[in-house]
Amino acid sequence: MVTKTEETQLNRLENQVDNGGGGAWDYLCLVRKLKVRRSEKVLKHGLSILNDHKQRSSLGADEWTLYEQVAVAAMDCHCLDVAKDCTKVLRKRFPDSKRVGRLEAMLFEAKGSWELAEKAYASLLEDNPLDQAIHKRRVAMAKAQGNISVAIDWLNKYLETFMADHDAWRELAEIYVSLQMYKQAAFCYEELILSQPTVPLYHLAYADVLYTLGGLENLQTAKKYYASTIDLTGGKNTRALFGICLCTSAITQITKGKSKEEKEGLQLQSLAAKVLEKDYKQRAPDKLPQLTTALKSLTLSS
Amino acid sequence: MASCLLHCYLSSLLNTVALLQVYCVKFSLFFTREIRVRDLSSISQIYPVPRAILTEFSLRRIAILQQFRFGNPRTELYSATRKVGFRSMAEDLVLDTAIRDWVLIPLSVVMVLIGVLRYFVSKLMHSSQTPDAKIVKEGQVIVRARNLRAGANFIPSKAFRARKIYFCNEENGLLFVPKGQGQNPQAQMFSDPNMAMDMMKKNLSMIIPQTLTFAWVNFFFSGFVAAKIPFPLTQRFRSMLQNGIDLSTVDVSYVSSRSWYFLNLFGLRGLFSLILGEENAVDDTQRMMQMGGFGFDPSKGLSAEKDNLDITQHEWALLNFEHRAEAVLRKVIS
Repeated sequence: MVTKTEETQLNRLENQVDNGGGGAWDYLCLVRKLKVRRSEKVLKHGLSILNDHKQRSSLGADEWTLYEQVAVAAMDCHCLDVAKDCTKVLRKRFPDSKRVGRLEAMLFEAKGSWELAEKAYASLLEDNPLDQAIHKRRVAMAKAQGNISVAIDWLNKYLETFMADHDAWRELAEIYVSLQMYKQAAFCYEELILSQPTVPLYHLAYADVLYTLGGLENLQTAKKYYASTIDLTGGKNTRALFGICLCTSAITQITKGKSKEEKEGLQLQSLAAKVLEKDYKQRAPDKLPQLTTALKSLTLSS
Repeated sequence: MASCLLHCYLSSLLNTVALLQVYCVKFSLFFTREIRVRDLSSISQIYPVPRAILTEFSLRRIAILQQFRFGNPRTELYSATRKVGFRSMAEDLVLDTAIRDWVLIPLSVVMVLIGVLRYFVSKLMHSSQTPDAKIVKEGQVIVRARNLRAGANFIPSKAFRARKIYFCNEENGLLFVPKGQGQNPQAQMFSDPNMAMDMMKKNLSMIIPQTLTFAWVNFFFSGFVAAKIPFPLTQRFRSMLQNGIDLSTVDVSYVSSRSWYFLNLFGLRGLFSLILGEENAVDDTQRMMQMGGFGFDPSKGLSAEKDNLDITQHEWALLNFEHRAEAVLRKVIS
């Protein structure tokens, strides 16, 4: 997770480097530390350091880290020549390194020669079966080829061992959602909520999945999670506000006639609608009519 | 491979021993000469010390007390003691330049050199150990179970119950360790030669050099007042700074050689990170902590986590979140 202060620092540095203010190396270090994906900038500034002999040699041993970083960024930008050169330099310096082996396999992958890449990854895994990065690369490769079911298999296998890796859970959840396997996705989002209970995005996604699943119980739970998202974000999440409205109207539709606790729910709904209207008035006044009709249809149907 | 490693150990050991021997010779020469020059009578001439105290001092300790200021003000010292009298003798203690040249500097240099040497030796012996898949998995299970326990109230009770059973059931729950299967670490060590090997390596790169240097410092430098720090300190620092001299009259700002050794041992980390690169610094304190962690039994962690999870009650935290959300929204509107 990138905190706000780190992000502002990163953006400030990026701005400074873009405008020729120097500090490229610091910027690259920060990008590496935060693991953010700014491949184009990394490629541009990293290459300018690598091509400048004086700057490069002043890095000392960090030079090789920079080569690796630039190589990965180049693969991401599909500058295969640059990636190839960087990998070659690294291979020359570290003849039997597994880390360079991984880079080479990734290069195969970037070129689209899946079989070669698969073979390379398999041989790397034989040496070290617990290399998380390679397991993840395999999943990414299956996904890139369009074999979603294979990707799910790999991910499940990976999660069997590394079950505390929430990034993998998140990936799996998103894949399941894309395949409309909502029950499985719900399980993954539960796992994510468990590992980071205060991240509102997971609550929101979980509520979305539950709402999609339908059924009275799920709808009520979804409403609770939308409510918790509102609580965690301070009412700033538009999606959660809409979610509350939708959930309430769906629930009233189901429980028509035998209303017990509906009044409370309706209150929350009207509040959410008010906040939505206020938001739209402030930020997108031209879309206000659409919103009012949409909200009206919701309340009418109940 | 093993013979190569053994060769490495031996050669490094020999290196250390050779280094020690060189210093042995140098310092024994140094001491015999020094002690011959400074005999008791000359000391009592310079210091107006009562005889009773003198007899208490060992010969070598007197050699310390008799140290002179960096520079050569033998006469200055004499006049100083005359002026202020015996009472303030401890404060006016001045250190010989020879102590600086033959104790303070060599000790620091040797500590740095040993640190560097140890770094290279441990780098030579470093084996990239692939962790056991089972141990990794157990660690991950524990982390996930802990997450479940901590965040239990944030998921619906149905989901919590399903997970609890998944972790804790008595047939194939993840946290369930069948009786008698938990290996005790000692048996494991015997069955796995790699483990014993790692232990030996750790010993070789840490304990042996440390004991050797400590013995060396103790043998040659015990009882020296090696340095003076430029600010006064309270009595509590005496045990830290004057380890090895049992004099209560010496001012606390003087540092004994053994204490100087300890200060170097724990304080050189910054220098090492400068010489050897950031993450390569040999940190003794950290290593000692690692040693303490040895013999940890993962199956114990599993069953402890299982007990914790068993008694965890589920109270869904989201039941009243709708009211909280209402309050939040009211605030937004107003």
